[in-house]
Amino acid sequence: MNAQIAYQLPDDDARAVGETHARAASDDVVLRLHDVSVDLPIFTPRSRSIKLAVLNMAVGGKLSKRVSGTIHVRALDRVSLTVRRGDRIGLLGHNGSGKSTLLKVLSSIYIPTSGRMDSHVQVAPLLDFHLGVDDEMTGIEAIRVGCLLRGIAKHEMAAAVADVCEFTELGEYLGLPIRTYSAGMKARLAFGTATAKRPEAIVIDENISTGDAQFIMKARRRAEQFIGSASVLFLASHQDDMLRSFCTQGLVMRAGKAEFFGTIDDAIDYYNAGRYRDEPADDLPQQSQAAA
Amino acid sequence: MNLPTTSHSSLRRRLEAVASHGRLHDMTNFALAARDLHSGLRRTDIWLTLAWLDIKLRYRRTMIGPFWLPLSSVISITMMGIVYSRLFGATMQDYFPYLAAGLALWSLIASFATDAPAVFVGSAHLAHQTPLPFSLYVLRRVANTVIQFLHTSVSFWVVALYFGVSFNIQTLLVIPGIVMLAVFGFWLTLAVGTVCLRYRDLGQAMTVITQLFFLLTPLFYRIEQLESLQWIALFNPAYHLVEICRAPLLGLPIPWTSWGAACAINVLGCALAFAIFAKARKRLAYWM
Repeated sequence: MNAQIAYQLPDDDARAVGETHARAASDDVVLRLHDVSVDLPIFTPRSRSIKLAVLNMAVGGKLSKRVSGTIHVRALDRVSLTVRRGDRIGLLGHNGSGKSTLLKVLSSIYIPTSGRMDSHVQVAPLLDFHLGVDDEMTGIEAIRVGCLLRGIAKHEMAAAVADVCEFTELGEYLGLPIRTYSAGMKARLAFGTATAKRPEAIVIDENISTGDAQFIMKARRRAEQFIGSASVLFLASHQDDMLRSFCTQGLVMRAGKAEFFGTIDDAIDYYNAGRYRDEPADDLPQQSQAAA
Repeated sequence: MNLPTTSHSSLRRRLEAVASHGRLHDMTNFALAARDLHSGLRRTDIWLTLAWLDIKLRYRRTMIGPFWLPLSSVISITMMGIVYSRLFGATMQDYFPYLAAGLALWSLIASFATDAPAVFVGSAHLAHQTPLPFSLYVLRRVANTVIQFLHTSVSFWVVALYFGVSFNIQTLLVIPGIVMLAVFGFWLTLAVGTVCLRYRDLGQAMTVITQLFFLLTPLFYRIEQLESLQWIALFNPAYHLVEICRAPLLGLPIPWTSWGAACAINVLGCALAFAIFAKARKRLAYWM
């Protein structure tokens, strides 16, 4: 049955979503990972050079040892996971343990190097609240761009923008450039925009900015509405209280592997018991910065 | 099994499913790239808004705003026009509109070429946060450049009005000409942007190559002045792309050879760009 259900990318139209919904209804499983691995290339300046690559081709690969200095880091190592409707999964792990990579695979930003992912839900990533925002934009422009980039359809746009404007309580400030805002005003605007769309499945990475994470707790009512309306939640966080209040299950990641999967309390205990015993996995490069 | 998939789904729906769904991991490179282009082209609302906003923000940061770009090109056309019309022994009447049209069109081609390397490198932040189609970043870039061109080309119309260029019905051919240039910009940006994401040093090479083509393209001289070296221009894609727009702007007859060449360039270029994009699409996000 599952094999016949089509994969869904977030930018597909609502009609197709309804269709996959109907077909998935007979089964509670909405997302499945089978042995998913991601090998991220870590480039050196030499391996970034087209001159050396062409030269290498010309001499029949004799230079290859020196030229192809590309190292691959296994950011995800054969992760398998079955997600059912209603699951709220917290992700725990050291920096570089593969949490962010897993979230990127779940939100179709990364296509796995090997393994399969079958997904029957629209996954909306919430990795950076300030998506597409430029300090020179006015508040209202930033809201519009944020809504567009998060895939809000044309006919829902006006309602979504109005809703965010109301939440931010910024009033006339919305016509001014964002650089004139205080940090608190910026956070309200970013959080309001990020939560404008009510997706079926949400992927949240709070590790990017701690200020944003605190704001989730502060604007609790909207956060709960946002998270409550989704049928699936993934939340990567280092804060136990946040994980406990939003998640029911926990997945502990270590060196790219899914090490433990259980209730959120068990997962937090497992992680806290293990974090001082083990050598920190920080020697693995952070995937997003490594390529830059 | 309460949902027998074959009985309730029409052939059309199944074809659609093959075309637009399928699992990412076992989609072929070809299907993945086609799907990316398809959903990118469909989201006109996103890339047009972003392109327009890019321009608005750019002008907001400058003092004299939208007047600056056309003004600077009018100044350089005046300077070059006075000097070169004397050097080449041409009348200002003839030379100024020719130069203004050529330079305006060249600025479009040059912007495509020099901005292409950064298209994905500069979109890395967005592409790591949200799974938008990669072609959308290309379309945003191209739309931005074309809007900017339509704005700076005011300098040509000023010159054309001043020297009284005789327009006719064929002048309208400049519109399909600009469309051809936009298609050229699209495949060039897609191909160069993809390669530059993997090999960063190609970006510097593009600047040098663009400069080279500026000198080899009849812009401030005429092709006839090359005499026995006319083949240099005839084998230069930039010449044909400029010519299909410049001839109608100057009220000259339709340059059929250049139209043929421009079509061939775009067909081959699109095929090449698609091949490169398809080969890289699965790993583009890894390279950012």
